[in-house]
Amino acid sequence: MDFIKGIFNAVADPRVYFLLMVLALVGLVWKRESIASNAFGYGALGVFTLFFALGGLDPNFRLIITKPDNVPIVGLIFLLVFFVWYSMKQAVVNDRRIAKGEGPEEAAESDRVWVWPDLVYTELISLIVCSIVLIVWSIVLKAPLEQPANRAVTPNPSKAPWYFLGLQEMLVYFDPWLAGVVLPGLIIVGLIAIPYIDTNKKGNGYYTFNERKVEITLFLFGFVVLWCSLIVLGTFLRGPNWNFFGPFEYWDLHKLEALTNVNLSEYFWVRALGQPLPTNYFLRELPGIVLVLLYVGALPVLLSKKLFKTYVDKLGAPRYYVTVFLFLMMMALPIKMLLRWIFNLKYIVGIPEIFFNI
Amino acid sequence: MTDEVKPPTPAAPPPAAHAAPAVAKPAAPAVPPANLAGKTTTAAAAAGKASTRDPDDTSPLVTRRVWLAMAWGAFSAGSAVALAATGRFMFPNVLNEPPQQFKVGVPADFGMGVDERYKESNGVWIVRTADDIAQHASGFYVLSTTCTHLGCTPNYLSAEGKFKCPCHGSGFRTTGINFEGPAPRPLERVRVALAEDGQILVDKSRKFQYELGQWIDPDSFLQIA
Amino acid sequence: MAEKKAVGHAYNIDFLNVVFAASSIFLFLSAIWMVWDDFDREWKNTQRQFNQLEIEVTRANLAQAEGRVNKTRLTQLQQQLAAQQKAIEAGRQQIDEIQAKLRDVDARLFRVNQAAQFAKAKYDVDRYAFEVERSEHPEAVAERQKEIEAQADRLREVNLEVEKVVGERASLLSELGKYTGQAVALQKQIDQLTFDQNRLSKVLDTIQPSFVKEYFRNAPLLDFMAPTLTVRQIVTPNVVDDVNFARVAKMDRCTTCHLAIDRTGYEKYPQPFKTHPNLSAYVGSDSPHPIDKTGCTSCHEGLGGSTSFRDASHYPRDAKQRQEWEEKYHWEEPHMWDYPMLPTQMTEASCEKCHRSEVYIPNAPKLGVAYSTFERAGCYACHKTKGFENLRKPGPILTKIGSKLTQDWVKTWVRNPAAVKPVTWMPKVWYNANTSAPEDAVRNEVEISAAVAYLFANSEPYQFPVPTPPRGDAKQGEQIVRGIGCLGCHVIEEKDRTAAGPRRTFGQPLQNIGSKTTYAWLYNWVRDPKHYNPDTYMPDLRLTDAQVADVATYLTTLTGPAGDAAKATPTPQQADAVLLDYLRNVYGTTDAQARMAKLDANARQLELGQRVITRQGCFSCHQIKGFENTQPIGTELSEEGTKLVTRLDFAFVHIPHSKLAWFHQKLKDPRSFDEGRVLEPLEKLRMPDFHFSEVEIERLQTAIMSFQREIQPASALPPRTAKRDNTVAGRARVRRQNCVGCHEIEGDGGDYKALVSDASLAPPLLTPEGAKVQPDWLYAFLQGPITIRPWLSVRMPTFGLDDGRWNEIIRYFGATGDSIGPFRTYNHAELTSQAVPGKQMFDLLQCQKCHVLGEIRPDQDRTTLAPDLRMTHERLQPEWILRWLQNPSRIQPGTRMPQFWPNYPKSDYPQLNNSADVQIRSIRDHLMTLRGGPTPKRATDSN
Repeated sequence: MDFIKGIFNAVADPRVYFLLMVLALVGLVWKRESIASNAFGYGALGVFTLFFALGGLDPNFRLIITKPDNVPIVGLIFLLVFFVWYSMKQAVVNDRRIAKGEGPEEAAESDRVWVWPDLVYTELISLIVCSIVLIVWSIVLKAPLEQPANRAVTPNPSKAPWYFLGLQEMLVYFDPWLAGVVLPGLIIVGLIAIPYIDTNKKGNGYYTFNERKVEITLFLFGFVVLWCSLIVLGTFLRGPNWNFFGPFEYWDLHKLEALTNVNLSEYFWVRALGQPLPTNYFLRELPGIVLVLLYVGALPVLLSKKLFKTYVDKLGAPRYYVTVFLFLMMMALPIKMLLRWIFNLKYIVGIPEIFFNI
Repeated sequence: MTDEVKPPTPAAPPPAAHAAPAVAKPAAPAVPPANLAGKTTTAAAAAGKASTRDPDDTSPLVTRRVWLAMAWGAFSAGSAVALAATGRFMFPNVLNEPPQQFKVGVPADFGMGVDERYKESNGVWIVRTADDIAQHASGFYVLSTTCTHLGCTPNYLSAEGKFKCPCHGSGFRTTGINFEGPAPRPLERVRVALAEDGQILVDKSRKFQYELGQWIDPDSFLQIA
Repeated sequence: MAEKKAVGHAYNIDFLNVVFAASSIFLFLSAIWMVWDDFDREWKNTQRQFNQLEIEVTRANLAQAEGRVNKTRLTQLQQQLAAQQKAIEAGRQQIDEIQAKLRDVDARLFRVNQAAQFAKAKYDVDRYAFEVERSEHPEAVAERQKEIEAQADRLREVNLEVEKVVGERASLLSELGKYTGQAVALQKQIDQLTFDQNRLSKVLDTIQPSFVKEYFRNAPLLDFMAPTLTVRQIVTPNVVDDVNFARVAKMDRCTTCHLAIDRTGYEKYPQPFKTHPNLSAYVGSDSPHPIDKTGCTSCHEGLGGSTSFRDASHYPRDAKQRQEWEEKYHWEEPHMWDYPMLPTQMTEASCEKCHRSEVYIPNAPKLGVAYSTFERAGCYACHKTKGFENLRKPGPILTKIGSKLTQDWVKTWVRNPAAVKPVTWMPKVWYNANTSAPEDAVRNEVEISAAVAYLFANSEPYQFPVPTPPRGDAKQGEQIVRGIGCLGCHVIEEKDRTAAGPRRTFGQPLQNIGSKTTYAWLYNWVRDPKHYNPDTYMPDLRLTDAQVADVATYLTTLTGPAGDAAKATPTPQQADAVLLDYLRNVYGTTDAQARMAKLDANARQLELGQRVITRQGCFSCHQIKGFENTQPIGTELSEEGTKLVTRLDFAFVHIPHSKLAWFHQKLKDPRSFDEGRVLEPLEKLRMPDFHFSEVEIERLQTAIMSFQREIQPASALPPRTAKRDNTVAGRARVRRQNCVGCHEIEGDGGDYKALVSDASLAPPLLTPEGAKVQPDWLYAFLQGPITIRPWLSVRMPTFGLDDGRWNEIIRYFGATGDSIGPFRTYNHAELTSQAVPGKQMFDLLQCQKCHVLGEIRPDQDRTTLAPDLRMTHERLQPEWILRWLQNPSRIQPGTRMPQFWPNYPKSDYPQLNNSADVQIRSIRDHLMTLRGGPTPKRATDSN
């Protein structure tokens, strides 16, 4: 038993966990034909239920999942997995139909919309069921009231609400300006920009994957892998002092981890060139600045010539550059995470003198 | 919802059955398909209201009417309970205000006449009299400081022996009887009793109104020699 | 469901109907569950149970009240009343007539009253207008004035009319009274007789359960109107809770379950229905802490706003109760509130919230002994604590150690003090939990030797006043030591420090003193302690030199265990390694080695010794040369009681995660928190081990929990008066000088009584002293005591304190005795006017049989002796003498003075009109004339 728990604890290490999430996405897209069966769906449900049920026997895990704040996250995992599987399943079914030339299912009844009583009745029933869930939930799970707030005593760990746990995780790797303002802002800007950059007229109003491969994959990557899985990571795998703890590991307040980090400028000047750091901060951070400029400025152009040439043609230059900029910004997060994990890299550009760090 | 077996497509209304408009409308089939036998409205209606059931009767035991009655009944009942609970929520079990019942000291602490010690903190005047107009005895009664006109707090003018409300000029004698101004009725007395430890206990949760003849109630007056 | 849907629908409507019905029913059920979950509270059950109990108790009281009623008298009165009723019936006609007339008169009175009121109102208005006008236009008002005066006359007439009618009414009433008056009086008598009974049966009616109460007033949803099961709350505007971002008035809802806490009669029932103990001091409405002004949590802590057992942070008083609660109530360590309830035996720790810096508070004896233990152990010396600043160092001086002890003895002592004297308060500094490993022995010995070497190298030379004193008789010495009062501060054979207490171990234990120091030192010390240590608290017992020799000889016979031997013999290299370890933390290794190279072996040892003493903090308790201004090494304890448990380091010790458990562990074994850790020697914990017993630990926990952050506003504190200030200062002074070790004052102290067979052989009770003696006599006495009670073998020592301290004590007595002060003069002429008859009473009552005036004959029975009354005129306060003569044992319980007037104010003697007061007064007057008795005042003192 401890051996299995040890495996889970090791697997839940952020590096492994993140890799698994990416692999899971790859697997979902690549093997979507076989995933689209009910057998797979029920199987996944069984696996997850078994995991939580058996895992719940462990006192440490039980403490996490029964904390009133975390109960919805357990529900989130189930719902997320269900909806991703379900939509992929519907997409595969529709894709099969489209390949046969039949048109998607939704087109079969496109001349009418069932409202009265179908929609309204089911809405009423949903209302009732929702009310029941809320009432029962509020009776069974009491709000976790604690001591009066004391500004001299910070709770350990101090976790953001679940919808911000992804950002809190990002704050480990990025400067607060970036992680808290720039990147979330870009998320919103990106969402606003979708109507502009998404010129694919297909897939409107019906499930499909083949007709919108890139768009769906990109979205799943950004939403499920980056946003949601980081929320799950922040809920279950981050403990006191924001240290990593496996799901079956005891949250030891005094656990120590060596988190010494090095700036790119130090790597470049001190380790590679053997020189002391230049006193002028611009000179000192020049390698990093150059890199960033290349990433944001030169890389899109490079990509437009070779890899993304089809997209330049499809979207036109302005749309393409907007899209690739947003794409590169999104990829900056996993790239930075990898750099941190592999090289202990703290900042690519680190200018604390003017509060500017990347 | 995908269907493995589809009913005959009701694409167009059976022309023979309806004479008039060429407007396509979703048509109800004249004959329900076989696999829906017994499960539609007409079938339920056709089953009739026979109190004894045929062995061949395939109509549902619990008619749709019963289901709906139960459903709407339970829904209204549940909503009513939730509404009542919300209403109950408007009356807190405990309030952070001075208590309705409180002790004011022993009778020996008070002289004859009006005592204003508890006017500000608890909203009452403690009055000691040698001959009460309602009880014809000596002792204590306690007046509420709420003017019976529109609820302001009157001031006690000891020189003139009256309570005078500054809002609209209502005047009350030390007995509480209104005699001046727009006040329609006398000040209310509140319950007063002698507690076990010998102190006077004032209980504002019970009020006594003169005009309803309640000042003769023994709870409204503490007889002390 | 797909295949069953009807044409024209997306879903099967029949199925949806079923789903709708099912979910609606669940909605209804969950709504009911929600209402029930909110309604069903544990405190309501508690209140229902109490209701049952209350009914039982009230019924029992009612039965008792009925039993107490004098039945014969009652029936008598009732018969008389019946007779009166008949008489009233007989005179019914007249009564009706009178009442008719009364109604007319009432009507007339109403009209006339109204007329008078209207006239007065009009007059008031006109008069005021007139006054205003006159003040503005004084010339134009002559006519108006006449009008006003006329009005005033009319008003007087109207008032006169009113009086007339009132008079008529009164006379009618008295006529009526002739018929009904008797009945009314009889009814009143009956009511008086049955008062208790009536009251209790009314109470019983009110509290009886009823259908309406159960199913309407207390029903779910309907209980917003007038429930009988309610949350009871006490809001205390003066006493506040500190919720970190605000100070809010306390809202204590404890009385929701503790319903009888302020009612007498429930003392025998289990919690939560028990009456609070000592109602006249706490909680009762006539106590200084009435519950509606102080609430509950100001003393007991806990979350007052809670109405459930667990959330209120109730705390078990011991391990047994903890287990009980864990089983019965699933009790856990409270985490909801930073200040859980104090275990009941530690409640007095909260007194300090308002009684700030009061070392002794009557009705809080546990706190008093807690502070005594805290002070005697000397915790304040290392741990700065508010209220205990500027107190003397608790240990003996080490500045002259060379003249008193040998190095070997000191090393053995320091190694393990309790092995030499089990009762000592000196803690063990080395060989503790984190320095007991075999490899630590060398370092320990090095440090001990170095520290002791430092002490001896810095010892002042000291010349004994009597360098070669003669020897005496040990047996005589023992008699003196055990009889004269040494045992009030020193123990000899006792081994249990807890049982002896902090007062009887106020001075050093005498157990091993013979093997500790020389005869010469003992002789000179006993003869004149202040010569060796000018600040010592050891007083002068006014012994003759021969007696001193006897005492010293006896003390040298007291020998005991030799203590622990050294566990290692370090080499010089090992010693150097230790010194290097100290130095390199300050100077770095190379620099340290350089410095060391410059010193010779002796200098190195002294250097190490100084550093060891600095690190271990010996100077906090002992005066040591070179450490006069060094800051103590302990954590400040001024707010330790308010400290959050998250600030305490539990390390690897597995104890419950609570403050009290941590304090317990720390006091039991201070260095145990180093267990399991990897530490440099200089990183280890330093608190020494006092080998506290469980009782002492609990006392110290109480003391620590009383050190709290001050948050209560001034309106919550006891009002400051000179009297109160003097009382507080005096109480502290008599404890810090250990007066209470011998004398009982204000109900506390007098530990010496345990050492004598009869209370009258112990030092006298000093509670009445303020009202009893004249202050300037007391001052002279304290400076140079004389024998007052010839039968005592204990004697009051000469303490030699400064005026400031004596005056503190004298003012304290004055404050508690409610006597005016030291500047009062007495009119002796007045006070002696009845002296002549007084002498007759004096002879009649044979006062001289016990109160010998003059030389005491050698064959006089010592057990019947009493103080010499010639001292009276300058010693006793004249009013006090009257109270004393009246009833001596009320002032001094257990006194041998008889009560001559047991039937006061009646007298058993015929003299002076058989009046006890006059007789007592005359005796007093006679006593005030007596002269020539022993006096502490010197010829230069004004009399």
